[in-house]
Amino acid sequence: MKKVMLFLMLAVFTLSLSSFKVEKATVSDVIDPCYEEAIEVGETMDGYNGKSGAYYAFIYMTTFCTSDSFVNQ
Amino acid sequence: MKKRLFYTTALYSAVFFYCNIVISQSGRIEYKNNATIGSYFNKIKEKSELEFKKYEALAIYERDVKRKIRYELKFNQNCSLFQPIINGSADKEVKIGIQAEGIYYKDSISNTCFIDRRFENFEIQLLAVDWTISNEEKNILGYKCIKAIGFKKTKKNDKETKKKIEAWYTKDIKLEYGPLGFGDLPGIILQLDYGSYHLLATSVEIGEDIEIKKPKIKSKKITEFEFSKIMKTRNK
Repeated sequence: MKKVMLFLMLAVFTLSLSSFKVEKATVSDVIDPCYEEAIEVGETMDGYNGKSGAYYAFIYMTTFCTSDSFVNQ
Repeated sequence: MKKRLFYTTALYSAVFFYCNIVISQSGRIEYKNNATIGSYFNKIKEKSELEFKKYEALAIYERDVKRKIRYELKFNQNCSLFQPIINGSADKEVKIGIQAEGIYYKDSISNTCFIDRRFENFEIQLLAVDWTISNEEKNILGYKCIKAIGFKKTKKNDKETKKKIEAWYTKDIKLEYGPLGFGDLPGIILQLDYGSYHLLATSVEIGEDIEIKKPKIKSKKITEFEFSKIMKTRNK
């Protein structure tokens, strides 16, 4: 009985870990490095000259990243 | 006598209207953009709400800027030009948004977008669209419009993915043009939903003899696939 319980626990543990990995892989698959960089710039510049981080992230994005009018590779 | 005069005037008016719309086939359409958040941000949101939090402020900022930009489509029998309307009195962020939008030129040979990214000018050869025409109809600015659904096909890790386009075109202007380089339908597009773009015609001017020239911008010729691939890399 103990062995069965242990086996079940291990199975549940393995499944939970594997499903977590699948979700993580799917998100990272979607991540665009250029947009990530825009966010980093926004975080660094937030508050400079009284402008928000989103303002600087937007400038970065429109200078270096793709546009929504094109297909995404 | 009065009746005859009335009918003659009505006939002349109808002929004049027909000539303007069907024969002259030259004009200008203005569009507003009821923008939503970008496709990229939407994908992130679908996968992970937690990850999206990081991007939320930027996604909303971009959407709000895009909503302030108005666009124009100039067309004649031979070609069309679609671009944002430059507004000198616009806020700084709107001016940045306008600069980031491309200029779309379409004729019988080419369908390209001129865009500035990473301090370089690109001339992007736009992908063709597979259209399916539906029987749905609606009225936009007095023009009877028909709905068409299209797809731009992309390849990602050797898997083919599709990006959907919904267009409403009118046969009253029998030219194969529309916003963002879309067209190849039996009439001009008055409404277009594609990614975060939700462009709706706010005015149609027909009858002017408009001269349109392909922009002369020294730029690197590139396909849409290649452009997206380059822009996805980190800049640093």
